[in-house]
Amino acid sequence: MKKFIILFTTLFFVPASSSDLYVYNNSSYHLFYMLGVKPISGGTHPFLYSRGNYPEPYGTNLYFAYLAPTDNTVYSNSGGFPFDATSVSPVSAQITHWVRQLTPSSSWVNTTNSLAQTLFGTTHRFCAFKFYITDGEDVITSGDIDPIDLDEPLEQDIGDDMLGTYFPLDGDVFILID
Amino acid sequence: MKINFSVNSILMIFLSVILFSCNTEEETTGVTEGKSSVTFRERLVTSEKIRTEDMIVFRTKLHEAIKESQAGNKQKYEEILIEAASEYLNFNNVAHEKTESSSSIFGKALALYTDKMNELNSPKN
Repeated sequence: MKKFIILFTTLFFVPASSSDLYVYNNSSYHLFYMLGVKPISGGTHPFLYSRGNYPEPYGTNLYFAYLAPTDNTVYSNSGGFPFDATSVSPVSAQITHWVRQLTPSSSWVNTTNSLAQTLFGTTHRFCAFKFYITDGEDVITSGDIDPIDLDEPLEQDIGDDMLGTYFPLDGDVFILID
Repeated sequence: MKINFSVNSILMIFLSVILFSCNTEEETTGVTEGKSSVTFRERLVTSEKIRTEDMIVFRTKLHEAIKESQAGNKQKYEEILIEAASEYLNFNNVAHEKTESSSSIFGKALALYTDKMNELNSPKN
């Protein structure tokens, strides 16, 4: 009984390890992106996509977060994956909310940052970086950085002589566009 | 005796061929790896972007770290990342503690890299 109480207390009070997510836009262009998140335990669902204040290419739906040329940001929350990131700078990189899909056939449901943090903060991890890049007017390139093995780094040609690189390190994720 | 001589000769030729082919393979591999590294470095040097030598060295090492990971050397990947980040920060006199986490040091180095890119390259728009 004593052991059970100690174990329960330990589980209850040990804080979830944070999993910070860094994005660096080292290109001369405008980077618009959304983040994909899936369960740590495997499988694809429940799947979540971030939503930002910037529209899809040539569209009006507000889906993407934005980083100006040679700007960077970090998403952080002490409660695991940063669905509800604290003090994100610049403001353009802020995630307004998330959309979640419970199964591949179910519909997408809007989810507030705080609810996503509570429901999925300790069970989910980064899995995809969906982006498009413009010169201020036209889309220069677009695509996904979605590593098959999330524990392995990935460097890929994303077009227009640019590289998109995914660095996993100590549970944190670094996305570099250059 | 004659037959023995012929067998020995054939054996010698066979061994020589094997040794020669192994040697050629090693040389080819070495050349290819070297070329890959040079190509990435050249890509940075010939890019439209202005980078200082320390930035080129840092970015090339990150590329090499990924190559190590792809070759199955996960530990080496992390070692190269941290070593490259520490060297880059030290070169630019940016303080970091030995007790800092690996990702904190790496994050600082990438942030510095981005800041310097910003300083050296004015945005197109």
